[in-house]
Amino acid sequence: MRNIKIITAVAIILMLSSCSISTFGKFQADEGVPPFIQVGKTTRTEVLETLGEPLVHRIVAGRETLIYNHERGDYFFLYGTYEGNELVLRLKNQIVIETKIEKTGSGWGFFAPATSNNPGTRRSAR
Amino acid sequence: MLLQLQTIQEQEEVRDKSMFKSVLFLWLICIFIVVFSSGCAKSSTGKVDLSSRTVPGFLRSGTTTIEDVLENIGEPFGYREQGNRSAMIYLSFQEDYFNLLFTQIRMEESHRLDLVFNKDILEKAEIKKEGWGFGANIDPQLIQLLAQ
Repeated sequence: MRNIKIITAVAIILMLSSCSISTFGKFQADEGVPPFIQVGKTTRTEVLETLGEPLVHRIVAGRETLIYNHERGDYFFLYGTYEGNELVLRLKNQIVIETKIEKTGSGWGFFAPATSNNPGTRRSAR
Repeated sequence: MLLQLQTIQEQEEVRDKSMFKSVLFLWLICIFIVVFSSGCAKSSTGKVDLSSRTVPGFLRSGTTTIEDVLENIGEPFGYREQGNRSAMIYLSFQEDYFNLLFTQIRMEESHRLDLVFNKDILEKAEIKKEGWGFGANIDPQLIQLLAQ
């Protein structure tokens, strides 16, 4: 009888549990600025060759800017989180002069994933 | 005769205990179903929270520069230059989601901050409500099942 109760409890927990991890983007925000990028040394060509085409490439206030984004959604058992970040690179004379990672969004879900912001769903930071 | 009466009383006690256990078990199952079939989620996107519909305090027309904005808020969603004038757009989106048993409620709100610069100095800052959404859903299949 005791064994049946334990088996039932384990079965219910297994049926209710689930997990998923999804990630989107050409860099990993949790690892920080990609180590090959060195301010004052790395060129635009090296960035494009290593990371690929950026999501945004434009001139802002007279400075060339490249933007790569990264979004990640985790869901485990009962709790899910979402976080979006972007890597902003500013260049001068085709050399990286500034790097920063900016947070674009976040979310959480309890007994429900923060679905609307997860990668590949209908709304994203860009 | 007395012995028989005692046995009946004992049997009734056992039955009562069993009944109590069954009712308790049913309640536990009900609570379990309600708790595990409910949920909530909250998410937001955007580099600046505009839900209060107030312009960030550091933005002052005539003094704030593009550099100040980039430093304080970060890279804008949209940017455009035309001659001496330039414009930045920041978006802010909030979403709340609840579900309980077979009902879902979703509330969304989106705001937009428009900044206009003249010679890299802030000329105008304006917040607009870009959109909102409300959704409530009761599972139609479940209603059909209940109707049957």
